Amino acid sequence: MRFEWMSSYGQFFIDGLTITLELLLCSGVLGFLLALAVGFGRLSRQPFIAWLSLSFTNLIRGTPLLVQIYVLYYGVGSLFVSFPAVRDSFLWPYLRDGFWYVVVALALSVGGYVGEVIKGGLRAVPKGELEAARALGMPPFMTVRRIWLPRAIQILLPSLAGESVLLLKSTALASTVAVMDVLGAANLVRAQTLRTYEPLLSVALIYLVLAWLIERVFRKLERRIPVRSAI
Amino acid sequence: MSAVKENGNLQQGPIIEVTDLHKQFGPHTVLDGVSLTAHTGDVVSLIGASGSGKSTLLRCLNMLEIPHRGKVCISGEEILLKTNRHGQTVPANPRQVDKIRTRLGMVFQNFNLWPHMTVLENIIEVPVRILKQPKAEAIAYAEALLEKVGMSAKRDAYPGFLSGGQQQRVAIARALATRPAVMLFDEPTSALDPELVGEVLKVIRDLAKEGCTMLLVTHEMSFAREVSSKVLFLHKGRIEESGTPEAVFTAPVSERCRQFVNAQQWKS
Repeated sequence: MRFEWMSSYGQFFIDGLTITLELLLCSGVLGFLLALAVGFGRLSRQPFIAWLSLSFTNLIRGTPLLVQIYVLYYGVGSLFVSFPAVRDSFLWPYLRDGFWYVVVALALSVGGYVGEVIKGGLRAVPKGELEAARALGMPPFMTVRRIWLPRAIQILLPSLAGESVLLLKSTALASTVAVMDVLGAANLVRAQTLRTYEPLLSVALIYLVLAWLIERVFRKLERRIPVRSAI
Repeated sequence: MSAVKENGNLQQGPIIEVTDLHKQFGPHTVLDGVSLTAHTGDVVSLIGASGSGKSTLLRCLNMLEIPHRGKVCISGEEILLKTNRHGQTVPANPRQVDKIRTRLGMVFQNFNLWPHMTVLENIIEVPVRILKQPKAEAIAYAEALLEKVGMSAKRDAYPGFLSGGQQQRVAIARALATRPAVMLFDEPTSALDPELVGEVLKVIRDLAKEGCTMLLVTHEMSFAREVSSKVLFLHKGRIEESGTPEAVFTAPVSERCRQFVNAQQWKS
């Protein structure tokens, strides 16, 4: 094992790590919002909304994430190129970059998978707690915001920790569409130094530490409110 | 009814007036034409066998169950119902129902505290968020209520760490926090271990002594007899017998009521 390349390529890793964290954060936040919509949509009494949510979930969960990224980046991306109006617009710098395609693909993926998780969490909140809110005069939207959703998320924290780690690892796919995330940096180092193990093992270690950090943050959140269901 | 003011507290008519209430679950008729009135200071107990409709009647008062037919007036204000396009009866104005619900403090069999909030947060939630009371004021009143139900020490505890009796006392404080015109108790001691029933009944008894208006669905016959000003015996969705506790428990007119009361007395 030789690591002297670190001095000249270390900055690549730091930049890559930043990109990885940006991917994680952007797609995590957008994906979670989408997942909320999907989760509530799955429970909707409107048949069309319930059907739409289920179809979306099936589509996302039934196709490989890599294919979704390719469809967005190579498919939709090259479609944009053919429109001069798009090329000239202020959005072009973003649309040219693989980053946002990956963010959208990851967010859709989170929406599909976590949406299903959220649905389960919403169902797991005891009906009586919602009934108490209604009986004391809480309007429906406030009941969702103050009771239903916070309770569901509290119940789901362990699952959400797992999903977040999965998302972290999925960001590595960004390197396949020329986004210089931390794996992309490792690939670059590999190509330029002709060393294989050291850059890859360094990247593995970085992911391991990040995953551990995510777990820790969630564990803290879980402990903040002592979970022991009433009754 | 006379001299009804919009506010709901300054009126002389009955606080609760239910007329000819009907409710069905599928083909099963649960309420079959029930009428009742309650005035300020009344303690009305609803007794009867399981499935007689007493809980459903209570839940129709705050529209947790929507009656198919009949009229519910709270403090002289009728809850407006309409038929939607699926042919179901629904509240004509959900906001009216929400407003009326804050005047009806409900206590459930299973307490139904919100486990992600502390005891204090459970109590001030509705006063602060819905009634828009200043937080300091809501907390002060919540603390007074906790004192009253003997739970001051657990102010910052989470419900999951309380016994059933403690949770129910907090739930009573939560229901009182909106200063409701009427308290509705739906079998408040049925989910409790026998040794915890007493502490909850004591709180309810104290409220009754203070002149709190309440409707109480219960299986605790001796308690109903002790605290009620009026007892209603329900059977198959109808009020089969009603009157003072003395009349209903010692000299019921209806044969079924007599059997029920006797059977209950044997049990206790």
